[in-house]
Amino acid sequence: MSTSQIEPTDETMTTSPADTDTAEDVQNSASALSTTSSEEPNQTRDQVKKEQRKLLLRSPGFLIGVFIVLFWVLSAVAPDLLANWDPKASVRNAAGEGLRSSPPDSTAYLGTNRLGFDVYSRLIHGARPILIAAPLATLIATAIGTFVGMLTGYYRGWVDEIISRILEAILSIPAILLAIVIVFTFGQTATVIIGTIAFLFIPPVARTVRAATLSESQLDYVTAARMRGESSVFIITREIFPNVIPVVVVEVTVRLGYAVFTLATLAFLGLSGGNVTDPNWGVDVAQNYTQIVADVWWPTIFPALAIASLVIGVNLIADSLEKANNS
Amino acid sequence: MNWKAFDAIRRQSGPLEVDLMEAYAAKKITRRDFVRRGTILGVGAPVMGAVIAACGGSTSDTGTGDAAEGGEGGEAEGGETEAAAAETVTGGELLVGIQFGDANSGLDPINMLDLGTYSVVASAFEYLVGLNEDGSGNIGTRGLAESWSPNDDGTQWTFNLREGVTWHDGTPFTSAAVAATIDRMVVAGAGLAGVVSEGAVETPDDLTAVVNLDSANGNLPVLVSIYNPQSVITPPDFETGTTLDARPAGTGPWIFEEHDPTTFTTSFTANENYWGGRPILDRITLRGFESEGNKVAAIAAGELDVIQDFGAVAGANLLTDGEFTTLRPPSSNHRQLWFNTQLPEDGPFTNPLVRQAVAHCLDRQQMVDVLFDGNAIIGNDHPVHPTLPFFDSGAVEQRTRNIDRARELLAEAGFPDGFEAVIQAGDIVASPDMAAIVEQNCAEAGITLSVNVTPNSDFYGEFWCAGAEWGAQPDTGGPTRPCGASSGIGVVDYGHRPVPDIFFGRALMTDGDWNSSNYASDEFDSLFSQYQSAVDVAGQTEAASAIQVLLHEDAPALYPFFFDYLGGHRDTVSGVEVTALGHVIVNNAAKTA
Repeated sequence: MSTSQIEPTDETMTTSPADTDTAEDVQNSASALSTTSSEEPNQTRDQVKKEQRKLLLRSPGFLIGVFIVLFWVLSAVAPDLLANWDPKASVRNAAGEGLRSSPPDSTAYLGTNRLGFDVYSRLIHGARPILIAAPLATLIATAIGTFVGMLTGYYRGWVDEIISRILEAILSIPAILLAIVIVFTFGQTATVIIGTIAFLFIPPVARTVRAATLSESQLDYVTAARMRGESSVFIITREIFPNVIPVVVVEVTVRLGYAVFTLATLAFLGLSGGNVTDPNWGVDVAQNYTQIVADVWWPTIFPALAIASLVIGVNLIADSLEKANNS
Repeated sequence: MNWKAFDAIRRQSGPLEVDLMEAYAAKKITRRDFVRRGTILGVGAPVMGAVIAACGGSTSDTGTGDAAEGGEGGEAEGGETEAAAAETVTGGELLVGIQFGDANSGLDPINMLDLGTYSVVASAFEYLVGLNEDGSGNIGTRGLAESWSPNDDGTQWTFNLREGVTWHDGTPFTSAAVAATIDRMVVAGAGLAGVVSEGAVETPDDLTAVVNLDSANGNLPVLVSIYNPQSVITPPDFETGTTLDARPAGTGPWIFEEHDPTTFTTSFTANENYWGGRPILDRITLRGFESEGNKVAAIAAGELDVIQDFGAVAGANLLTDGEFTTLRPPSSNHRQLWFNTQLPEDGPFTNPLVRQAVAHCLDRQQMVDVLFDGNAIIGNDHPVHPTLPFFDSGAVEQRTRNIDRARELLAEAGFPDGFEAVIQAGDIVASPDMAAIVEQNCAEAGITLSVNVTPNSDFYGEFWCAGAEWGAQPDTGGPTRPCGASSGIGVVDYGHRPVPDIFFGRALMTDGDWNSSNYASDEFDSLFSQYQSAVDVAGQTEAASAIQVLLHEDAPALYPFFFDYLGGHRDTVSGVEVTALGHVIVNNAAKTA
């Protein structure tokens, strides 16, 4: 990560698609901001942010990612708007016959599964559990990881040595393996599963934030703050933290993608933390995949695609954010 | 009807046989039931043939009737054996996919509970009464007893043992092992509790075992047959808790080689000295599968040669696979939807009205269609299979889905707004899906169930008979209830038994060791002993009919259907037999070149 946020104007102007519109916008916003803000550094920082936002909105990857994620968020918030069947109702056609393992048609848009439940409606309803658990686990991991990362990056020395070795020890064990052990030990509840994923993601977040903090704390403004006699708490929270926020934001999105994937994997392995008949993408893949050989592919492939689309959507956003930060 | 011939046979027969013959002559029972019950009583095939002829039937029909009962599988297999005979090869290995066994019991012949373990243990050990020769799935002489017969009032049974049988270590098999095994079964419950007492087996010589019963019982041979898997004959030094892998033994066609409990994989080598002749194959391996789907996928991909069992839905592709043979042994297999009728005391399921309400919620036809694709029949909340001679079709009306009635019953029981509960299921054929349908069916009446699925290896120990939050059974002063701490509601698997004695005695009697319903009904217990001591069909029908009524009303457990057992093998193998209780019999199996 660069530290261009401090004095970046020149670099930004040269690396951005410098068409006239952009240049004009930047000028306008800069002058607009100058009326409300008197400090010069703040002005350039806002300017940069605005420029980055603009870049994002013009990136097709970002827009596609946002579209996909928003679709699933809408499904999670208001599934009944989109789904046409109860996820546990036996789908019946116009003649009143129960449809089991029937291929996609106008009654069941994505077909029905072996129990006669509507695959499409289960997809829509299945967005909620994963979109509650994944962001929650990510936020917990990021909060703790950022705190730990900044501590180790700022203090270095033995604090860094001890904590970093512990984090590396956790990282060296395959994540899914560790997750299975933890969930089996503490019980298969939603809380345990969210806590487990949060725990697994603390080390990578901490490591990234530590690296950013390390490079920030060697910069002149930190030295200046120290010479002013500011406390460590002040320097970490008021001086360094604002400058590692972009790194944290990218880390959140990257981890979110991984969290979705890990949750789905655990659910596939039978650790869903709830009623196994509730709509859940990972569980649905696990319960139906053996029927692929019997040419009943729709109850498996569509939930698998749903998992993939959400992971890809989140990653597209993460990539675009990182690019914008580095520009 | 040739009364003269009939009379001649009647004069040579004991009272139990005469009763059976008269029931058949009076058309109270069908020919198939006559043959089945005659087999249990030890009536020889020529005698039965003569009775059928005297009663105006054709003897050759007997065979046809049995074959029809054996179903498609039996016929397909027969045809295939002939065709394959030319190209079969001696030697080779067979890989069999089975259910993952219960981790608690391990390979303990007395404590085992599941079809996976049954198939492993019965590869090395044998039963006193085995299957018969014709592939119909009836009991017969392919076991350690060559013949058996009751005394006049059915209180004493004499078994004549096979000569020249040796244990795998070379020592001769004698009647002492039979006496020791039956004693062990009596102590452990194992289906003989209340039928026989400890020390009741006399051994006048090495090849004769005389079993003295507590009271008359016409079904004793079934209770020491392949259809009571815990009755495998083990050496006299076996104790409860001795496992096959800790103390390898047996008289059967396969000698134990090794067992890996983490993968539930067991291998056996051919017994060169098997009394029935050395198996054609050199070695077999039985591999456990935690999930049914993986087992089906493995045989579909050709990784397995034989599959112990599979569901009609999960294994739909196998039913249409041109290179796979499906075996359908006769089956009274069912899934029992149990309720803990005693605990927790303030829980909904201790109220019979709530249990009846759940029964009224069930859409039985949906289960038959969805779970088995039609390969099942509807049940009426008691375990008496409609094909049994003492089934009383007029006893109770068939229960059907009636949500209004369910709501009425719930309101009457004090749950007008329903309640919430967790329904437990092991991960084997159709159990999780059945739980899902129960959940869906009950939702309409306001009962909110949440389905919890556990791997089969842990299910029995964690939810079936123990492990519920209420822990051990409180001291009631009455008989102990070994299975009292079961979960409130759950689905458990029961394999085929030709007579429902085990379903009654182990699963529903107050002190039954499989009584996950925690059912404690003096009325049921006395009806069951009445049924057991009834030696004639009329007496059994009377008791069984009353049991049907009682179970239907009390609903300690629901029996929504009986389903066809499906097993099978790749067409590269021939001579495989399965029973609907998980036995995989491959001593005559061979691989084709």
